[in-house]
Amino acid sequence: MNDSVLSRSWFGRLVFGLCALLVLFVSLVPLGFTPRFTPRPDWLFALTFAILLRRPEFVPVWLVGGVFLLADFLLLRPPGLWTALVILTCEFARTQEYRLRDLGYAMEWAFVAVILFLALVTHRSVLTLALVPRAPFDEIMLHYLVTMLAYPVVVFFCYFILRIRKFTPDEATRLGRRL
Amino acid sequence: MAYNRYQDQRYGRSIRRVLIGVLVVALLGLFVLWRIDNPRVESLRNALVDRVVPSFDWALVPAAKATRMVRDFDSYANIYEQNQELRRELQRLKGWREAALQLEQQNAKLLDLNNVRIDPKLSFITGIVLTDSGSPFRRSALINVGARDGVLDGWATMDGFGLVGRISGVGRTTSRVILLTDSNSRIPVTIQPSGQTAIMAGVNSAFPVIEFLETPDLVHPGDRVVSSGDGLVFPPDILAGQIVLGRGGRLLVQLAADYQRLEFLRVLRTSPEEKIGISDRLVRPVTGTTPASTVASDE
Repeated sequence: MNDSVLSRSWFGRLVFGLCALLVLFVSLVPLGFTPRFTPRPDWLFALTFAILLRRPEFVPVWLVGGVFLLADFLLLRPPGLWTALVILTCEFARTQEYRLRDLGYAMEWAFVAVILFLALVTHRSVLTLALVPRAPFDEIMLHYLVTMLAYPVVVFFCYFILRIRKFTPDEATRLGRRL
Repeated sequence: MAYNRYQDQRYGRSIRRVLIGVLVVALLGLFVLWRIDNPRVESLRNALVDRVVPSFDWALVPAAKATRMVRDFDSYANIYEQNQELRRELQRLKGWREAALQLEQQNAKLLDLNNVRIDPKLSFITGIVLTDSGSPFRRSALINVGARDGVLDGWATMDGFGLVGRISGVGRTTSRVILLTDSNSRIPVTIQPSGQTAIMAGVNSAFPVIEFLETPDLVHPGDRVVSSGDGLVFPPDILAGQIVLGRGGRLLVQLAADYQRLEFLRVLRTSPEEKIGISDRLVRPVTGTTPASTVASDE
């Protein structure tokens, strides 16, 4: 049994890694360069948290670090800062996962909304302190709203297509998770 | 036994915490390094992009093409009207072509009569667009020519119609083009026919704005915006777009380049002009030395 749990979690990591690379790939495909009114949502963030709040062991720190650092470099962000913030946010969310388990989807969405807001505000404040040119505040807020609207879509994808679901109390006990 | 396991878990958890702390500090260190020694980290970024992106360009270009085809499919609905319109346009263009040919011949004759030497410095390399910037706040493209093809930072790029952007960041086989719409783009331009100079600044929307214009009254919608060549940023007289009026009478530029479908970009090879430091000796050779050696020693 232990073996199958281990191989399952490695399979989950593989799925997360592949999905993350796919998201990066799709965001890099050149499809017209006219700026649109609505910015793209941050699919990578939504994907990470949608999986993390279901199966934390599928989203280990090193994988999050690697994927987000690659994204920082490829998507022309200041390297390291957003990755560090996402890792800290992930670790916080990991400690809260057992509480959100039976609270229903609305609470999860609200939780992600709050932590994404905090992460974005911190990111922007650090950039301001470091005197780095940054995007205007209203555009970031628009980006934030779009990402939060995209989150249910990602959760839907995780739940019905990847079939990554929250622990039932029974499973949690079996796998030695905190209840 | 149970006690031991509890101890182990606690021990494991604190080790984990330390490792995460180290990771976060290292990442923040990278950010600080980027802030302090920007060129070095940016060249690291270029090298990384140069390694990663070409390895899956076999998939990037077809993906872009396929999506575009699906998008274009919508326009098949009104294909008849489009066809008619294109025919009318073609007729008009034929007229223009005739005029252009005649002018070209005339121009060639006049140049020949005047014995003009054509400026040889404009030649170009064409690259395929590999990627978008992928971020909602940046407007840039990655093309598949780089240091290997002699591309240098700061060169202008255009598509068939007009100016697209400026090279910023060159890897071995790829280079990044900062588009005119990016909020970091500032290009010195001349507005024709009034001939005033101004700065065209990208604001992350489809229309860059005109800044630092001396007398806005002389500029009207429809005026042509061309690069001025000031500050040796760009070669002069390359079409960028037309003036349009924005909300509140702001002067915006409608770009001539077709940003919706950038597939190929021309990188204009511009060599810096030769500087003549001491004009005196060029005009009147110093006695005792040949002009050739004077010029050589000047360099």
